[in-house]
Amino acid sequence: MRLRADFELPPELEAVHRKAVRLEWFSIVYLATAIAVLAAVLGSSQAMKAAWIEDILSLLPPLAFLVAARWRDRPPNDRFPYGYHRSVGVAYLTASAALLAMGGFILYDSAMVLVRFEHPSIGLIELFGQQVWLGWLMIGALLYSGLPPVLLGRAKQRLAAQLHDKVLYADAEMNKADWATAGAAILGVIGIGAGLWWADAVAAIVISLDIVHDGYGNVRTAVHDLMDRRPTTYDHAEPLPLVDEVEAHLGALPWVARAEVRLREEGHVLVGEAYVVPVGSPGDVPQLVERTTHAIEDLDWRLHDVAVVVLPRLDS
Amino acid sequence: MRTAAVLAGLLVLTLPLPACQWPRDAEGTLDRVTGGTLRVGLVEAEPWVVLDDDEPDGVEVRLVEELAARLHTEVEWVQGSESALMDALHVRAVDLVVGGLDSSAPWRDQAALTRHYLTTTTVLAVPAEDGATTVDDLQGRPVAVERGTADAERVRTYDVVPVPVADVADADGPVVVGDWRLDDLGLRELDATVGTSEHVVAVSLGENAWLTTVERFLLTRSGEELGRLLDEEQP
Repeated sequence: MRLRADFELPPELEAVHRKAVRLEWFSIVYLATAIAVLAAVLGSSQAMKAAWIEDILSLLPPLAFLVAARWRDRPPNDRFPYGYHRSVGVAYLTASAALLAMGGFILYDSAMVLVRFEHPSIGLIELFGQQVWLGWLMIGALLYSGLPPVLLGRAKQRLAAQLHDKVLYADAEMNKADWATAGAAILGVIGIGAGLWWADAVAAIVISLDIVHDGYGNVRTAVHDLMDRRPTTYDHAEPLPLVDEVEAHLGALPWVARAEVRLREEGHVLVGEAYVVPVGSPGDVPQLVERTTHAIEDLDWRLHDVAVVVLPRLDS
Repeated sequence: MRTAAVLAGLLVLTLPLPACQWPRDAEGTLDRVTGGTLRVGLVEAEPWVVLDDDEPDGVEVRLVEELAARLHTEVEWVQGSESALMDALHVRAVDLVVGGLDSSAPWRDQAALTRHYLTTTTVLAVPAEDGATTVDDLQGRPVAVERGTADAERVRTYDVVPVPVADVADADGPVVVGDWRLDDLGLRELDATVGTSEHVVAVSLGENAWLTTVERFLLTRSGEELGRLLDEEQP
């Protein structure tokens, strides 16, 4: 059995990847404190509960990224001849599915609060001998949990673009949307204080819809990636131009008459096949194929293990 | 964008509210009770709510009376089981339920429990003249404990022999007793807690002005005041 060649990030991206790993560890530590702070003032607000659960769920993408970071570079072996690049996709699907399920649960839970006319209450807490309305502390905790992630998200998004990492991108998107979650929960708490019992449940529903939206989008992307759809840019916005670029490169080679390329994503890397019809008398074909294979991999760091297949003609 | 629009809508709804009362009630309980009638559900639980005579008595009954006086409100007492009164509270047929409720009470879906205003413990204690100085000295000894209470079983963790009695005040020797009765019964506390109770009262859900008014009243009661009320309820 032939194992796939080892893959290593280019040195400059190794540094970017290390930075991303550090950032994700920092995220986890920060999230742990935010989760603890929210738990301390949770009370009976449904919106607070939703924001709290969303914070717990925001641990999943960083965890998925870090798990994948440990696995993706393992060299291929007899059991896994293609290596472990797909671990990124598996981690991504797992995290997305959890997100979707949890969003659905909160949506149901919050809708039932509305249906049952449940009125939430927020009372007092004693702080240094003073009685303070717990709602103010909740709002403080929500600000702490909602504002820093926006900055984290921006930093992660830059790295995600460089690394072409979809898990990191999904994480960045969730972080960037955190202010909206915190804002909705704050309005829910203010609503309770204003005697508008339904405001809290409505805020929770808004938050849960946001989680469901995130979860659905990510499950979709994760499934599509595992289904080997055409490679896209890191933000899934458009098809990656690399397929056309490789075809153009091959078509310009003197020994190639026609070329068609098919690529798929495995985590960070792109793998696939290049079908080539040689000109009338190309010369030493094995030599040419080997050289061309290397030339393709030199086009972009992400191109890895693209098999060059020589055919007498291409159908259609 | 959609999220932002909903947030803006909620903000507009909450902004024009007058700032005079904060937090506010969903159904205006505090405004209705002030200068009006306060409907209080009573669950018998000595020494917190005592229903022996025509007039209700007990620590929490006294506290409610004092609160009512401050709000210039008339109290309408209703007796009932805890389940019935919590249901009544849920549909706002009463405004307040007292009866030795504990912060771990399972009524969070029916009622808003206040922050606890007092923590009491039941402890192992001996008569002043008893030789025991630590809980280890009581190992294997009979200890009087009120019949049919959780303490009667929990005290076994200290390797003593529980003896169920009707009232520990009549017992000689070591007893399990509420910490507020130690002085009155001339008992010496050993360093051994058997049970802990965080005392709360229950109000209607969503009535935040009412809830915080009750909480503020209860939390500002001094230890001496609560101690005096407890002393007055000694049998």
